[in-house]
This record gives sequence, C-alpha cells and structure tokens, in this order.
Amino acid sequence: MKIFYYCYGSAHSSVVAASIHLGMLPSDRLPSAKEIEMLPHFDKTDSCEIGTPFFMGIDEYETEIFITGMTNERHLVKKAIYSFLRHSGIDESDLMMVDALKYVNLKTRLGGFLSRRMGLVALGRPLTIKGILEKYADFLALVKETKHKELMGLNKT
Amino acid sequence: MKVIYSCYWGSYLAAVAASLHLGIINDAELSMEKMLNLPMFGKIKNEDFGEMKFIGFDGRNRGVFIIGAKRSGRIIERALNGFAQIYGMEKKTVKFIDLTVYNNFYIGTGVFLIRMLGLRRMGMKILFCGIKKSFAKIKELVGKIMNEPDYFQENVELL
Repeated sequence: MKIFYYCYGSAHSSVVAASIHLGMLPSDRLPSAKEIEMLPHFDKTDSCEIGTPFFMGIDEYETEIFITGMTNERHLVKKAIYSFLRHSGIDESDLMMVDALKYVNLKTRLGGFLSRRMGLVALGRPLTIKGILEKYADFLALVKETKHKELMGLNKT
Repeated sequence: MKVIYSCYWGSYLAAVAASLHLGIINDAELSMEKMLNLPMFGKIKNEDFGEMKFIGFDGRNRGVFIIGAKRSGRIIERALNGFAQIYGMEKKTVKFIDLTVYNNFYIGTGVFLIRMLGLRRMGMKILFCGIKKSFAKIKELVGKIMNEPDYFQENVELL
C-alpha cells in the first residue's frame, strides 16, 4: 500500500502528518519547534518542486508514505493522477490520498507564504511552526483516522 | 510512453495538437469544419478537468491523450512523472506537453463566448481565428515532439 499526504506545497502540513504517521513526531505530546524544524522537507520544498511526490518512509505495516503538493488545484491534480494510473493499468485500491491542508490555519499559511514565496525564512518558518503546534491535535486525529483506514484496507486484501 | 497534450480547457489546443500527432489533420490548412470534427474538440466539460482522455495510438503504438489542466500543467507533469517512477514504470513514460503558451486573445475570447455566454456560433468563429493563429507553431511543436531523440529512439527499439 502507498499513502500520499498532500497539501499546498508539500512543505508544511503534509510533512507534519507524514512524520506523525511514521513516528518521527510524538503522538503523546506536543513536539518542540526544533523537532518540527528538523523534519525532512519541512519548509524546504521549492515552488518548482510542487507536484513531485517525495518519499518519507515506510510504516509499521510496510506501507510507503509519501508527501506531495497540489496547490489550490487538489481536486484537479488528484483526478489527473488517478486517471493516469487507470490508463496505466494500475490498481488504485492500494493507494490512499490524504488531505493534510484542511488543518492548516492562518499562521501556517502566512508563515508558508513569507518563507517559501517571499524568501523570508527567518520570519516565516517560526510562524508556520506556531500554526502547526496550534493544530497539532487535529493532525494527530487525521493520522489516527488514516491508520484506521489503512488497516481496514490491508485487512481487505 | 504516453503523450499527453494539455491546455487550459483540454479540448481546444490540446485536441488540435493530438489530432496533428495522430495524422487526423495534416499539413493542409485547418478549416472550421475540420476543426469542429476533431475528436473531443470542445467536448471536455469543466467537471472533467484533470481527466486524461484517450484519443488514439500513434504509428508507434504510443497512447495519445488530452487533458484540461487549467494553469496547473507543470504541477500535473511533475506529479505524473513522480507517480510513474513510484510505480516502477519505464523512464520517459510520460511526455507531457503544456500548450497554454499558445493561448491568445482570440482563443480566450472565443472560449469565453462559448462557455460563459453560450454564444456557440460566434464563439467558434473567434476561437477558430485564434487556433489558426497558433496552428503553425503547434504543428512545429508536434513535429519536434515526434522527432525528439528520446521519443524516436525508444520507438525504433520497439519496431
């Protein structure tokens, strides 16, 4: 199975969700700013990389976890991916796409804009982390739900 | 390999390019009647944006598709290339051609009249002018793609 966490630019919310999924971030407490900052791809993906899926790791069920950015055209990009896989004869049933952007608040959006778009990393990055920490419980719930669906999917096959 | 022609709406510039690629239209001048009868021409609805539509196989058995990608052609291209790699497809499985650069004032106005105002007859005439303006460039691009070394060499191996 493959799970793709997606957000706007694969730099913040998808990284955090995938990292919680893989145990790179704690599930029983709030992580420190440093822990978030050290995550692979966190606040690092460039605009010219949006769309490219990045491998994050393999979870305890041997599922491959990826992140990808889809800007504001998530519906369109997802449709193109599914359509491409269908035309390539690939079974989509072992693929999960998880929207991580829905838990992004204004602070993370603004921070992401300042850091990624304006290049003001020193100003934007702490703001993105603050926003992520405020919504951390929602990210935990999202990953919990995803893992539940993952298990259900694995039991079916 | 899949050759995917993409434009904002998917069924105008992309449909013309795919038809050129497949030899449905050739070097002869494009007429209004020919244009209207191209496969999928003007037939992709807004809700089908993102869906790859199969048009046919070219002379070397490569699938030719069109897609309405709005302004996200580059993102979709990267996503499809990434997924192709993840699923172990051969290199250069995706040849994605974004034709939005060939949009012009006439195409934009024509499509606006057809899609937004429902003025199909007038819109088609203006759209046709726009497509004719870009036709030579599209033809040149399609010719280039068909003769590109990677595309050509891969196909020669299969022949």
